[in-house]
Amino acid sequence: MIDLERVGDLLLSFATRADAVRARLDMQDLRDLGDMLAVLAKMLGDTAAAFAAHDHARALQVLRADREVDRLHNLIVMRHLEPELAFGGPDSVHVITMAHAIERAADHVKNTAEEVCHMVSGHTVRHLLRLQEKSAEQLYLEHLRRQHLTGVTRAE
Amino acid sequence: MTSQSGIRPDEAPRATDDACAKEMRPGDTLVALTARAYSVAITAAQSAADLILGAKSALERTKSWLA
Repeated sequence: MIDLERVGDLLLSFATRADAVRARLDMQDLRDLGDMLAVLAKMLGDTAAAFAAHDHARALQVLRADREVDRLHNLIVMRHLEPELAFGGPDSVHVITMAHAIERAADHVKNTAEEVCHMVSGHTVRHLLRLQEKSAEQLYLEHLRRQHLTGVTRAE
Repeated sequence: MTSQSGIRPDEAPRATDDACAKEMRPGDTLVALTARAYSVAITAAQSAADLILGAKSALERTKSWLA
């Protein structure tokens, strides 16, 4: 809940700043900020659904979506700070601050999703991700092992 | 002992439980409250996206929900 409160604070700060400078921003920045917000809204929806349905797989998707928000944030920052691109202007500070606010909000949602994972599965996120990263061979061997055990149980 | 603003700690305005009690509905469980909180946050994010992409009325909605 504290994370959701912080998300609300960050969005309010974003909205106040956006209302002031929106008319002066570049279309590319507006599009990227809009994309970041769309991903953030999806992350919130997935986390709520994962909490309601006790679905840790869905919560893990939120963690992956956070990487997309981070990527867009880095893109915006690099575009405005890279001297060779000569893209930045007097409103660069506002754009970078707004992108940072959305990135922080996404981090809070990611924290909430990690809590959901732990609450549902009893395992940490690191453990769950390791389980999902098994190679095809490992998965096949586990499948054979389960089949063998099932066959032994039926024979008994 | 006073704070820097000159207001004594016991005189400072305090949040009361009345507003929260009025907001609570009978039968609200933790899950229902959490779902409502997420719903507000999602709407706020969508309104912020509307704002940045051009819908001017979105700011008033966002501010009223988050205030």
